[in-house]
Amino acid sequence: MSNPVLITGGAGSVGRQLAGMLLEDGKTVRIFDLPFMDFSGLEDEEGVEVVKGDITDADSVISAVAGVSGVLHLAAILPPNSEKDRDFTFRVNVDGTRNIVEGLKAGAPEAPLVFTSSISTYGDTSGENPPITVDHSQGAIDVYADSKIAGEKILLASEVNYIILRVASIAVPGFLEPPEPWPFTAAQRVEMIHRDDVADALRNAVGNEKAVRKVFNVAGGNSWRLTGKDYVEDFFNVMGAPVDMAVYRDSPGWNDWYDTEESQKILKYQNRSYEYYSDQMKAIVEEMMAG
Amino acid sequence: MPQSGQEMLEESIGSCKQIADGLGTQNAAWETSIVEIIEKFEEVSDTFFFKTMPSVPVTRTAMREAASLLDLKNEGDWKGFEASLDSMISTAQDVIEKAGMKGTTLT
Repeated sequence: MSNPVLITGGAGSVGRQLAGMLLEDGKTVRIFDLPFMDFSGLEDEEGVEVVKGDITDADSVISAVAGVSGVLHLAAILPPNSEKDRDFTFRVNVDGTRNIVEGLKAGAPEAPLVFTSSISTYGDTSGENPPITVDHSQGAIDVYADSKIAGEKILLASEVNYIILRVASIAVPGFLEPPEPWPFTAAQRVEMIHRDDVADALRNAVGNEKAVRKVFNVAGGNSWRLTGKDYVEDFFNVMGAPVDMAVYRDSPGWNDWYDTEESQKILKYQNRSYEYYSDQMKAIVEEMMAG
Repeated sequence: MPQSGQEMLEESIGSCKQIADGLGTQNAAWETSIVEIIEKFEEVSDTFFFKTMPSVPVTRTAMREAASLLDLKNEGDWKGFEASLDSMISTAQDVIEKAGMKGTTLT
């Protein structure tokens, strides 16, 4: 039996999706998440080990990390919750990452650590020429991005085999509430990514030697390069909702078009076009109309 | 222009209010059920769901059932009312469940 891949925050929907994918790849998985999370369907699954603990507790992280073949570090406080309490966000997103790094040093020094960072770390790039490359300067405009920049710094200064994925805004195919406001202006460039392409990038980063000690932009690719207005109008039209109720940011947010040439070459994750996503959304709405 | 889900929900609430008026003298439990439906509908009425096309089928059903229930009340057909009330409660649950969409399209 191979050493397990640790998925922090693994009891959530993305963690579960990844666990399934890694099992398909013949790997074993260790899920690490807070004790009050719902672990149903995971605890009895062959090839899955559940470790309940808190990422901010160094001791529980050390035991979770011991002997792993890799880490997919998903545990984080995400927007909008990340903006409510800076200290708490930093405890989870920054101190938690530090605990993983320390745990790896002690218990699995060779194991790669895949860190889910964010393209929000570039800040407002709307006045620049796209695409935004990974060597672009970082400048947070919110707490979440600030915490991710701090997390990246811990990895870059460490000796662990990090793989940093700066993930774009994730488009989830589902009948869900639109954000208010949308995290961009109407005229702003946006390049999102399909949720399942993010999962593919994470899956393909595990055990990928070409990705080690590199930083990647992870975004949807050419078909996802739109303006904020294009994306939002499509969304409201599919939903059959009045477009004029969309609320945009007053000033540019952190969305842009990204250079993903290297990430796609190494991680091979851009498998779902914007048209594919649009068709999925239409099918979801049609199913609801019929039901 | 066809009615939106929100307009049909509001019409359903209006019918339910008329149904609830004085219903307790006939059956207190029925009145409680209708008042609960009104409260829940008012609670969810501003959600995005009712501004979308997928809200139309289920709110149309709720609107028609509420109108039919009101007719039965006005006719004093209490046997028919009792049977239709069960259907209205089931439809209301469907409306509330569908309106309770979670999360956002972006993370």
